[in-house]
Amino acid sequence: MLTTIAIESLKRRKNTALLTLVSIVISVSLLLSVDIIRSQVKDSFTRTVSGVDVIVGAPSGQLNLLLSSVFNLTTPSKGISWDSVISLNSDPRVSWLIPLSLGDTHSGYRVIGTTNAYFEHFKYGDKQPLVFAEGGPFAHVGSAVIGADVAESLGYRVDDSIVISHGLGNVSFRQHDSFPFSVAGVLEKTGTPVDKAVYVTLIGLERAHEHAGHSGIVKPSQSIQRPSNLHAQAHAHTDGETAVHGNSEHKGISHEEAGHEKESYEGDNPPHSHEEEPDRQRMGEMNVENNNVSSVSAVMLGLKNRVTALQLQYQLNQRSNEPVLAILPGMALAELWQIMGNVEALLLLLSSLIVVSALIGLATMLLATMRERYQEIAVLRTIGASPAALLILVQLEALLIALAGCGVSMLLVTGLLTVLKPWLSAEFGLFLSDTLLSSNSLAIVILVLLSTYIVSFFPAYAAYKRGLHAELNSQ
Amino acid sequence: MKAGVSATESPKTNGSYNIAIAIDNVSFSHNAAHSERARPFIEIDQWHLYRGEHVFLSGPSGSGKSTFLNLLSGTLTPDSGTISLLEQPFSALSNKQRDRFRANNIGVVFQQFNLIPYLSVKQNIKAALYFAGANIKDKALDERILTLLNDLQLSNQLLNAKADTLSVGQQQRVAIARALINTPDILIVDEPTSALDAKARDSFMDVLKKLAKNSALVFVSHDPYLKKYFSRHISMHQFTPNHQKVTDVPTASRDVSPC
Repeated sequence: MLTTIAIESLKRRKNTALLTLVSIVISVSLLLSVDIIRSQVKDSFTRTVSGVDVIVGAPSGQLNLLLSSVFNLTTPSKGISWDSVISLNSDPRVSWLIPLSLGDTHSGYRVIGTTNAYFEHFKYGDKQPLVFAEGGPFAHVGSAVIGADVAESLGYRVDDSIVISHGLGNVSFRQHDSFPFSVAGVLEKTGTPVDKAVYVTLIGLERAHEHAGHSGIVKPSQSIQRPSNLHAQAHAHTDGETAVHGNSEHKGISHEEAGHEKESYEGDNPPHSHEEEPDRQRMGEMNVENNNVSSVSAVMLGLKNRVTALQLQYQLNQRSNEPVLAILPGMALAELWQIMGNVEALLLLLSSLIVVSALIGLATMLLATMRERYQEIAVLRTIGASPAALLILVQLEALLIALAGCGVSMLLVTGLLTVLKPWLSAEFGLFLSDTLLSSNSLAIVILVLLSTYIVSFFPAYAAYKRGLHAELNSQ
Repeated sequence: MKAGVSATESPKTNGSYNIAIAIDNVSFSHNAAHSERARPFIEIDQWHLYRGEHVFLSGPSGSGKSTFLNLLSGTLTPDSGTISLLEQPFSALSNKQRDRFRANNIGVVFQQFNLIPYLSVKQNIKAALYFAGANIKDKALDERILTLLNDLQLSNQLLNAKADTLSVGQQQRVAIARALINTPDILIVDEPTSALDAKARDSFMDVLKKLAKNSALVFVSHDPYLKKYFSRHISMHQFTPNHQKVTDVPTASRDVSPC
């Protein structure tokens, strides 16, 4: 009965109640979104890479290397020479090695030059390996493997032919269209940046660049253009595929796009690195061709014994012949998370405060209408309602609004994030899982209701006090 | 039960109690009240009202009528003395007990604003049942509401109408229905007809007298016309100290015979 009275009472004061509801919906939605995105970002980040012990790249910054090699974000810095790759590969502590060559795109998706070692050793999430939905790994120099999202949104199947463009923007002025790749395999969906990547062979990528250097034709942008993304401004980036001329006395030279075509080697003769064969067995079995490329952007290492990771990292970072940066993905993620943690705490604090102010608004609304309810209070007292019943009635009204607000917020947030899911993953590399509302969301809702209960004591006590002294027919 | 109020005083013996209201040496001054309103001083030596007895209480505005009614219904407590309702010392009950007692045994109808405006007629009546501790899901109660509305010549169609969409006359009758739904032994009716026209007033009085047959009725009005419905009359003057203190005990002139 009290609930009926509370609902009818709110219905009567529809306008104020609705406005209050809206403010609660907005604030609770904000808090829920912040919390969901926070935890999803964390999940998404930590599940992106697993099983990789060390990542080696050119000296830039821990985060830059992590973001470019694992998340396909930011512009890759200059690379490390193939010689270094060879020497890393021959290191007794190293079990496997994945070279990565970054800096090109296909229809806005990042193109990564690598070897078949990638599909064999790269793991994500809880040590889950990559699985082919269709086709298989690289079969020849011109093979490409595409992520699930790429296949889905561009409609590619096995044996389709794709052309990569140079640079990271959507609108690239240079396409390596004289060296098309054919899709050899499509990967299963992983919910990581892998879904949004196009993998080509290291050699193939190098060849594509050479061809481009040859033709030198500036093509207009590609026919399929996706909405501008984060990297639309990245046209004048520092190139990733630094050319190293044959031997290692030439260190990677970063160059602007305009100068790119002058860099590479002439004709169809790829540069032959001179000491390329020492561990051909290990490299070769994953590679369709010899690995005579000049340099790569980064290398992912798997170690025979993870304990040696720190030691290897230290040694690599102390190396003097070609300075490289070695990072442990787990530690780099933790560092990244430390930075994010502060922002995240601040966002949570801010949105909590907004919720608190919305709840105070709710209490104010109830308190402000208390005077016009004196009559009603007198009637309720007359028919035997105790002051405590009046207290409960007002609190019930507050809780009903808060409950409705939380319900609407949960629906709104789930709906909104579901709709925004593709955009979030495309723009920010944030991959949301399917179950958005967690026990955390539930805890937030309970906290909001609890706060409502506490805050509603103000108007409820006013009703109680009024009820205590209400007399019959007090007008 | 106050020893001074002996059962032999009552000529009636039906029911477990016969004296509905017994006031004994009660005094009340506004100084003791929480209200900021100034109140006349009230002093009552002895006053009884039997079950089934109807009394007309008159007095000008400000003569302490509403203070008296608040004392009767327990929303005010006397400074001294005892008010016993249905032979229970009402003023000795806890607040909570008083609320429950009021819900169950006292029906109140005011001049206006008797109903909660945003509730329907049915919800208003059910609220009274709820606070009296009745099981409002009981289908038999729905029947009773319908019968009562029927007796009050209110259409069934009004059952789900919001209280503030009714005419004043309809509202007053719904107020009686609400006051009677818990079959109270005491009915307090305060200027119920002042907002009604002559025709509505007469039909209201007829219905009230008929339905309140078994209850002790305190009917407050300053309209002398209505006196004719009652054989027992008292004036507020009798309860205020600047007049002669009276001991108003029931006389043979009781207007309602026991049933």
